Amino acid sequence: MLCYLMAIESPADQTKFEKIYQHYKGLMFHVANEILQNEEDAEDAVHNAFVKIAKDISKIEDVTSVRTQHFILLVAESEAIDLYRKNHLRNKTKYLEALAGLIVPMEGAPSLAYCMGKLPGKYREVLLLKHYHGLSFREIAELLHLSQDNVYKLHQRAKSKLQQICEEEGVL
Amino acid sequence: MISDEMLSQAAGEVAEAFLASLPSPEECTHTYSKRFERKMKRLCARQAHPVRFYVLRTAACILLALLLGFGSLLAVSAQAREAFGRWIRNDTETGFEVDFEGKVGEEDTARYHPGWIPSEYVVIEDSESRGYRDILYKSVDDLGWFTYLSVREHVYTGVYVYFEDFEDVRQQTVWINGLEGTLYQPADPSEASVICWMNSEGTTVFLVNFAVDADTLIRIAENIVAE
Repeated sequence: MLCYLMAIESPADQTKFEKIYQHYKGLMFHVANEILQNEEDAEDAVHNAFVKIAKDISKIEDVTSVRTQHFILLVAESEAIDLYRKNHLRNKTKYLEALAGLIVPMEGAPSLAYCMGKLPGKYREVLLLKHYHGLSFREIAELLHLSQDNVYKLHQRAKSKLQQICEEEGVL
Repeated sequence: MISDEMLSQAAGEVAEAFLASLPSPEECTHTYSKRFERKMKRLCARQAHPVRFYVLRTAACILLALLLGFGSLLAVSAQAREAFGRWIRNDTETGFEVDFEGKVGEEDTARYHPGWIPSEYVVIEDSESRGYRDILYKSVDDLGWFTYLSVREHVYTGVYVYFEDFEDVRQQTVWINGLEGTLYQPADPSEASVICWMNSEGTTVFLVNFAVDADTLIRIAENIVAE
Protein backbone atom coordinates (compact mmCIF):
# COMPACT_ATOMS: atom_id res chain seq x y z
CA MET A 1 0.00 0.00 0.00
CA LEU A 2 1.29 3.39 -0.89
CA CYS A 3 0.53 6.52 1.01
CA TYR A 4 2.02 9.88 0.30
CA LEU A 5 1.48 13.54 0.89
CA MET A 6 0.44 15.65 -2.02
CA ALA A 7 0.46 19.20 -3.29
CA ILE A 8 2.00 21.53 -0.80
CA GLU A 9 1.65 25.07 -2.04
CA SER A 10 3.03 28.17 -0.44
CA PRO A 11 3.20 31.74 -1.75
CA ALA A 12 6.83 31.87 -0.64
CA ASP A 13 7.70 29.28 -3.28
CA GLN A 14 6.12 31.06 -6.22
CA THR A 15 9.18 31.78 -8.34
CA LYS A 16 11.50 29.09 -7.04
CA PHE A 17 9.88 26.45 -9.17
CA GLU A 18 10.29 28.54 -12.32
CA LYS A 19 13.99 29.01 -11.56
CA ILE A 20 14.47 25.31 -11.02
CA TYR A 21 12.68 24.57 -14.25
CA GLN A 22 14.83 26.92 -16.29
CA HIS A 23 18.10 25.89 -14.67
CA TYR A 24 17.72 22.11 -14.65
CA LYS A 25 15.39 21.11 -17.48
CA GLY A 26 18.25 20.37 -19.88
CA LEU A 27 20.27 18.34 -17.42
CA MET A 28 17.20 16.43 -16.27
CA PHE A 29 16.49 15.47 -19.83
CA HIS A 30 20.08 14.27 -20.21
CA VAL A 31 19.74 12.03 -17.13
CA ALA A 32 16.35 10.64 -18.15
CA ASN A 33 17.38 10.03 -21.73
CA GLU A 34 20.54 8.17 -20.65
CA ILE A 35 18.27 5.61 -19.01
CA LEU A 36 15.32 5.55 -21.41
CA GLN A 37 17.12 6.15 -24.71
CA ASN A 38 13.90 7.64 -26.04
CA GLU A 39 13.30 11.38 -26.21
CA GLU A 40 9.53 11.25 -25.83
CA ASP A 41 9.74 8.96 -22.81
CA ALA A 42 12.52 11.10 -21.36
CA GLU A 43 10.32 14.19 -21.61
CA ASP A 44 7.51 12.35 -19.85
CA ALA A 45 9.92 11.31 -17.09
CA VAL A 46 11.15 14.90 -16.71
CA HIS A 47 7.58 16.17 -16.52
CA ASN A 48 6.74 13.60 -13.85
CA ALA A 49 9.87 14.63 -11.98
CA PHE A 50 8.79 18.28 -12.06
CA VAL A 51 5.37 17.33 -10.70
CA LYS A 52 7.15 15.63 -7.79
CA ILE A 53 9.47 18.58 -7.29
CA ALA A 54 6.49 20.94 -7.30
CA LYS A 55 5.03 19.01 -4.41
CA ASP A 56 8.28 19.22 -2.48
CA ILE A 57 9.21 22.75 -3.50
CA SER A 58 9.11 24.11 0.03
CA LYS A 59 11.87 21.69 1.06
CA ILE A 60 14.25 23.22 -1.44
CA GLU A 61 16.16 26.24 -0.15
CA ASP A 62 19.05 27.15 -2.42
CA VAL A 63 18.12 26.43 -6.05
CA THR A 64 21.71 25.99 -7.25
CA SER A 65 23.26 24.23 -4.26
CA VAL A 66 24.97 20.87 -4.77
CA ARG A 67 22.40 19.19 -2.57
CA THR A 68 19.50 20.65 -4.54
CA GLN A 69 21.13 19.73 -7.84
CA HIS A 70 21.62 16.18 -6.69
CA PHE A 71 18.09 15.92 -5.34
CA ILE A 72 16.54 17.17 -8.57
CA LEU A 73 18.59 14.85 -10.74
CA LEU A 74 17.91 11.94 -8.45
CA VAL A 75 14.18 12.54 -8.84
CA ALA A 76 14.62 12.63 -12.62
CA GLU A 77 16.62 9.39 -12.52
CA SER A 78 14.01 7.74 -10.34
CA GLU A 79 11.18 8.77 -12.66
CA ALA A 80 13.11 7.48 -15.65
CA ILE A 81 13.69 4.13 -13.96
CA ASP A 82 10.00 3.92 -13.10
CA LEU A 83 9.02 4.65 -16.68
CA TYR A 84 11.50 2.12 -17.96
CA ARG A 85 9.99 -0.45 -15.62
CA LYS A 86 6.47 0.33 -16.80
CA ASN A 87 7.57 -0.04 -20.38
CA HIS A 88 9.62 -3.18 -19.98
CA LEU A 89 8.85 -5.08 -16.82
CA ARG A 90 5.70 -6.22 -15.14
CA ASN A 91 7.12 -7.56 -11.94
CA LYS A 92 7.71 -4.73 -9.47
CA THR A 93 10.06 -6.67 -7.24
CA LYS A 94 12.17 -7.77 -10.15
CA TYR A 95 12.73 -4.23 -11.33
CA LEU A 96 13.97 -3.13 -7.96
CA GLU A 97 16.74 -5.68 -8.15
CA ALA A 98 17.42 -5.45 -11.83
CA LEU A 99 17.61 -1.82 -12.84
CA ALA A 100 20.88 -0.10 -12.23
CA GLY A 101 20.04 3.49 -13.12
CA LEU A 102 22.97 5.69 -14.05
CA ILE A 103 26.48 4.44 -13.43
CA VAL A 104 28.31 6.41 -10.77
CA PRO A 105 32.04 6.40 -11.61
CA MET A 106 33.88 6.11 -8.29
CA GLU A 107 37.62 6.56 -8.54
CA GLY A 108 40.42 5.51 -6.23
CA ALA A 109 40.80 2.54 -3.92
CA PRO A 110 37.66 0.63 -2.93
CA SER A 111 35.87 2.38 -0.08
CA LEU A 112 32.37 2.44 1.35
CA ALA A 113 31.44 5.17 -1.14
CA TYR A 114 32.99 3.15 -3.97
CA CYS A 115 30.82 0.17 -3.00
CA MET A 116 27.73 2.35 -2.64
CA GLY A 117 28.30 3.61 -6.17
CA LYS A 118 28.10 0.02 -7.41
CA LEU A 119 24.62 -0.53 -5.97
CA PRO A 120 21.60 -0.84 -8.27
CA GLY A 121 19.83 2.47 -8.83
CA LYS A 122 16.93 2.08 -6.42
CA TYR A 123 19.18 0.83 -3.62
CA ARG A 124 21.55 3.72 -4.13
CA GLU A 125 18.66 6.19 -4.33
CA VAL A 126 17.09 5.12 -1.08
CA LEU A 127 20.42 5.32 0.77
CA LEU A 128 21.17 8.76 -0.64
CA LEU A 129 17.68 10.07 0.07
CA LYS A 130 17.87 8.79 3.62
CA HIS A 131 21.49 9.52 4.53
CA TYR A 132 22.44 12.44 2.28
CA HIS A 133 19.17 14.32 1.94
CA GLY A 134 17.86 13.31 5.35
CA LEU A 135 14.36 12.34 4.19
CA SER A 136 12.05 10.22 6.29
CA PHE A 137 10.75 6.88 5.03
CA ARG A 138 7.43 8.61 4.36
CA GLU A 139 9.06 11.26 2.21
CA ILE A 140 11.07 8.66 0.33
CA ALA A 141 7.91 6.62 -0.24
CA GLU A 142 6.29 9.67 -1.76
CA LEU A 143 9.19 10.27 -4.10
CA LEU A 144 9.71 6.69 -5.21
CA HIS A 145 6.05 5.72 -5.60
CA LEU A 146 6.42 3.01 -3.00
CA SER A 147 4.73 2.23 0.28
CA GLN A 148 6.52 3.12 3.49
CA ASP A 149 6.76 -0.56 4.25
CA ASN A 150 8.49 -1.21 0.97
CA VAL A 151 10.84 1.72 1.41
CA TYR A 152 11.86 0.42 4.82
CA LYS A 153 12.47 -3.05 3.40
CA LEU A 154 14.28 -1.57 0.41
CA HIS A 155 16.52 0.37 2.78
CA GLN A 156 17.29 -2.81 4.71
CA ARG A 157 18.07 -4.69 1.51
CA ALA A 158 20.24 -1.85 0.26
CA LYS A 159 22.30 -1.97 3.44
CA SER A 160 22.63 -5.75 3.20
CA LYS A 161 23.69 -5.52 -0.42
CA LEU A 162 26.17 -2.78 0.43
CA GLN A 163 27.62 -4.93 3.20
CA GLN A 164 27.98 -7.81 0.74
CA ILE A 165 29.76 -5.64 -1.85
CA CYS A 166 32.05 -4.25 0.83
CA GLU A 167 33.01 -7.74 1.94
CA GLU A 168 33.67 -8.80 -1.64
CA GLU A 169 35.84 -5.72 -2.18
CA GLY A 170 37.64 -6.23 1.11
CA VAL A 171 36.47 -2.87 2.44
CA LEU A 172 35.04 -4.12 5.74
CA MET B 1 28.54 -3.26 10.71
CA ILE B 2 28.02 -0.05 8.74
CA SER B 3 26.94 2.83 10.97
CA ASP B 4 24.61 5.68 9.95
CA GLU B 5 27.54 8.10 10.17
CA MET B 6 29.55 6.04 7.72
CA LEU B 7 26.53 5.86 5.40
CA SER B 8 26.05 9.63 5.52
CA GLN B 9 29.68 10.32 4.67
CA ALA B 10 29.73 7.76 1.85
CA ALA B 11 26.40 9.03 0.48
CA GLY B 12 27.85 12.53 0.24
CA GLU B 13 30.84 11.22 -1.71
CA VAL B 14 28.59 9.26 -4.07
CA ALA B 15 26.39 12.32 -4.64
CA GLU B 16 29.43 14.41 -5.55
CA ALA B 17 30.78 11.72 -7.88
CA PHE B 18 27.36 11.43 -9.52
CA LEU B 19 27.21 15.16 -10.22
CA ALA B 20 30.82 15.27 -11.38
CA SER B 21 30.06 12.60 -13.98
CA LEU B 22 27.37 14.76 -15.61
CA PRO B 23 27.71 17.70 -17.98
CA SER B 24 26.92 21.16 -16.60
CA PRO B 25 23.33 22.44 -16.97
CA GLU B 26 24.58 24.96 -19.56
CA GLU B 27 25.89 22.16 -21.77
CA CYS B 28 22.51 20.41 -21.95
CA THR B 29 20.43 22.20 -24.54
CA HIS B 30 17.66 19.84 -25.46
CA THR B 31 14.75 21.48 -27.29
CA TYR B 32 11.63 20.17 -25.68
CA SER B 33 8.53 19.30 -27.65
CA LYS B 34 5.54 21.67 -27.71
CA ARG B 35 3.51 19.10 -25.83
CA PHE B 36 6.02 19.12 -22.99
CA GLU B 37 6.24 22.91 -22.95
CA ARG B 38 2.45 23.17 -22.74
CA LYS B 39 2.31 20.80 -19.79
CA MET B 40 5.11 22.63 -18.03
CA LYS B 41 3.52 26.00 -18.67
CA ARG B 42 0.42 24.82 -16.86
CA LEU B 43 2.50 23.43 -14.01
CA CYS B 44 4.55 26.62 -13.72
CA ALA B 45 1.40 28.74 -13.75
CA ARG B 46 -0.03 26.69 -11.00
CA GLN B 47 3.12 27.05 -8.94
CA ALA B 48 3.36 30.76 -9.62
CA HIS B 49 -0.25 31.51 -8.73
CA PRO B 50 -1.35 29.00 -6.10
CA VAL B 51 -3.74 31.54 -4.63
CA ARG B 52 -5.47 31.98 -7.99
CA PHE B 53 -6.01 28.23 -8.25
CA TYR B 54 -7.16 28.14 -4.68
CA VAL B 55 -9.66 30.94 -5.28
CA LEU B 56 -10.92 29.34 -8.47
CA ARG B 57 -11.48 26.05 -6.73
CA THR B 58 -13.21 27.75 -3.83
CA ALA B 59 -15.37 29.68 -6.29
CA ALA B 60 -16.30 26.45 -8.01
CA CYS B 61 -17.34 24.98 -4.66
CA ILE B 62 -19.47 28.01 -3.90
CA LEU B 63 -21.08 27.97 -7.33
CA LEU B 64 -21.88 24.31 -7.00
CA ALA B 65 -23.42 24.89 -3.61
CA LEU B 66 -25.53 27.73 -4.98
CA LEU B 67 -26.67 25.63 -7.90
CA LEU B 68 -27.77 22.97 -5.51
CA GLY B 69 -29.96 25.48 -3.78
CA PHE B 70 -28.16 25.83 -0.50
CA GLY B 71 -27.12 29.42 -0.95
CA SER B 72 -29.08 30.89 1.91
CA LEU B 73 -28.08 28.07 4.18
CA LEU B 74 -24.46 28.65 3.39
CA ALA B 75 -24.72 32.28 4.36
CA VAL B 76 -26.00 31.83 7.86
CA SER B 77 -25.52 28.38 9.27
CA ALA B 78 -22.80 26.42 10.96
CA GLN B 79 -22.97 23.89 8.17
CA ALA B 80 -22.01 26.66 5.79
CA ARG B 81 -18.78 27.20 7.65
CA GLU B 82 -18.16 23.48 7.53
CA ALA B 83 -18.71 23.49 3.76
CA PHE B 84 -15.88 25.97 3.42
CA GLY B 85 -13.27 24.07 5.27
CA ARG B 86 -13.28 20.31 5.62
CA TRP B 87 -11.22 17.33 4.67
CA ILE B 88 -13.01 15.38 1.97
CA ARG B 89 -12.27 11.73 1.32
CA ASN B 90 -12.85 10.30 -2.13
CA ASP B 91 -12.25 6.81 -3.42
CA THR B 92 -10.20 6.45 -6.59
CA GLU B 93 -9.60 3.43 -8.79
CA THR B 94 -6.61 2.35 -6.73
CA GLY B 95 -7.33 3.63 -3.25
CA PHE B 96 -8.56 6.84 -1.73
CA GLU B 97 -7.44 10.41 -1.39
CA VAL B 98 -8.16 13.01 1.21
CA ASP B 99 -8.11 16.66 0.22
CA PHE B 100 -8.94 19.82 2.08
CA GLU B 101 -11.71 21.72 0.35
CA GLY B 102 -12.79 25.24 1.11
CA LYS B 103 -10.99 28.01 2.92
CA VAL B 104 -9.10 27.53 6.12
CA GLY B 105 -11.10 28.51 9.14
CA GLU B 106 -10.00 27.87 12.67
CA GLU B 107 -6.82 25.84 12.65
CA ASP B 108 -6.41 22.71 14.73
CA THR B 109 -3.03 23.27 16.36
CA ALA B 110 -3.11 20.24 18.65
CA ARG B 111 -0.49 17.51 18.25
CA TYR B 112 -1.62 13.90 18.36
CA HIS B 113 -0.08 10.53 19.01
CA PRO B 114 -1.36 7.00 19.66
CA GLY B 115 -1.90 6.39 23.36
CA TRP B 116 -1.94 2.66 22.84
CA ILE B 117 -0.20 0.43 20.33
CA PRO B 118 0.14 -3.39 20.45
CA SER B 119 3.21 -4.14 22.56
CA GLU B 120 5.07 -5.87 19.73
CA TYR B 121 5.40 -2.58 17.86
CA VAL B 122 8.17 -0.07 18.50
CA VAL B 123 8.63 3.41 17.05
CA ILE B 124 11.31 3.52 14.37
CA GLU B 125 10.62 6.95 12.92
CA ASP B 126 8.67 10.02 14.03
CA SER B 127 8.57 12.88 11.55
CA GLU B 128 6.57 16.04 11.90
CA SER B 129 6.22 19.28 9.98
CA ARG B 130 3.73 21.72 8.49
CA GLY B 131 0.67 20.41 10.26
CA TYR B 132 1.27 16.73 9.92
CA ARG B 133 2.89 14.00 11.88
CA ASP B 134 3.88 10.58 10.75
CA ILE B 135 4.93 7.88 13.19
CA LEU B 136 6.29 4.64 11.79
CA TYR B 137 6.24 1.46 13.89
CA LYS B 138 7.90 -1.90 13.43
CA SER B 139 7.16 -5.34 14.82
CA VAL B 140 9.00 -8.56 14.02
CA ASP B 141 7.22 -9.04 10.72
CA ASP B 142 5.19 -5.91 10.08
CA LEU B 143 5.35 -2.17 9.74
CA GLY B 144 2.55 0.12 10.85
CA TRP B 145 2.01 3.84 10.90
CA PHE B 146 -0.09 6.62 12.31
CA THR B 147 -0.55 9.88 10.45
CA TYR B 148 -2.56 12.98 11.02
CA LEU B 149 -2.90 16.07 8.86
CA SER B 150 -4.13 19.42 10.12
CA VAL B 151 -4.73 22.12 7.58
CA ARG B 152 -2.74 25.33 7.99
CA GLU B 153 -3.19 28.74 6.45
CA HIS B 154 -1.08 29.00 3.28
CA VAL B 155 -0.20 25.34 3.46
CA TYR B 156 -2.27 22.91 1.53
CA THR B 157 -1.61 19.24 2.01
CA GLY B 158 -3.47 16.13 1.01
CA VAL B 159 -2.93 12.43 1.39
CA TYR B 160 -3.29 9.60 -1.05
CA VAL B 161 -3.56 5.97 0.01
CA TYR B 162 -2.94 3.31 -2.55
CA PHE B 163 -3.72 -0.40 -2.32
CA GLU B 164 -2.11 -3.07 -4.49
CA ASP B 165 -5.51 -4.51 -5.32
CA PHE B 166 -8.22 -2.07 -4.35
CA GLU B 167 -11.01 -4.20 -5.85
CA ASP B 168 -10.43 -6.75 -3.10
CA VAL B 169 -10.43 -4.20 -0.29
CA ARG B 170 -13.54 -4.33 1.87
CA GLN B 171 -14.85 -1.02 3.17
CA GLN B 172 -16.79 -0.67 6.37
CA THR B 173 -18.06 2.24 8.42
CA VAL B 174 -16.60 2.32 11.91
CA TRP B 175 -17.04 4.71 14.81
CA ILE B 176 -14.03 6.19 16.54
CA ASN B 177 -15.09 7.80 19.82
CA GLY B 178 -18.34 8.91 18.20
CA LEU B 179 -16.72 10.05 14.95
CA GLU B 180 -17.53 8.26 11.73
CA GLY B 181 -14.62 6.66 9.93
CA THR B 182 -13.96 4.12 7.22
CA LEU B 183 -12.10 0.88 7.68
CA TYR B 184 -10.32 -0.45 4.59
CA GLN B 185 -9.54 -4.14 4.91
CA PRO B 186 -7.58 -5.92 2.16
CA ALA B 187 -8.58 -9.53 1.47
CA ASP B 188 -5.10 -10.72 2.40
CA PRO B 189 -4.96 -10.54 6.24
CA SER B 190 -1.20 -10.12 6.16
CA GLU B 191 -1.67 -6.84 4.33
CA ALA B 192 -2.25 -3.78 6.45
CA SER B 193 -5.73 -2.37 7.05
CA VAL B 194 -6.41 1.34 7.28
CA ILE B 195 -8.88 3.45 9.20
CA CYS B 196 -9.43 7.01 8.05
CA TRP B 197 -11.49 9.46 10.09
CA MET B 198 -11.70 13.15 10.86
CA ASN B 199 -12.25 15.30 13.92
CA SER B 200 -15.71 16.78 14.42
CA GLU B 201 -14.72 20.11 12.83
CA GLY B 202 -13.25 18.38 9.79
CA THR B 203 -9.97 20.23 10.23
CA THR B 204 -7.81 17.22 11.03
CA VAL B 205 -7.75 13.86 9.33
CA PHE B 206 -6.32 10.76 11.02
CA LEU B 207 -5.06 7.54 9.48
CA VAL B 208 -3.86 4.36 11.15
CA ASN B 209 -2.34 1.53 9.16
CA PHE B 210 -1.40 -1.79 10.74
CA ALA B 211 -1.63 -5.46 9.73
CA VAL B 212 -3.86 -6.32 12.69
CA ASP B 213 -7.48 -7.38 13.05
CA ALA B 214 -10.26 -4.79 12.87
CA ASP B 215 -10.90 -4.65 16.63
CA THR B 216 -7.24 -4.00 17.37
CA LEU B 217 -7.03 -1.34 14.69
CA ILE B 218 -10.14 0.37 16.06
CA ARG B 219 -8.62 0.24 19.55
CA ILE B 220 -5.50 1.97 18.24
CA ALA B 221 -7.66 4.61 16.59
CA GLU B 222 -9.78 5.15 19.70
CA ASN B 223 -6.66 5.78 21.75
CA ILE B 224 -5.26 8.64 19.69
CA VAL B 225 -4.64 11.40 22.20
CA ALA B 226 -4.11 15.13 21.80
CA GLU B 227 -0.96 16.56 23.38
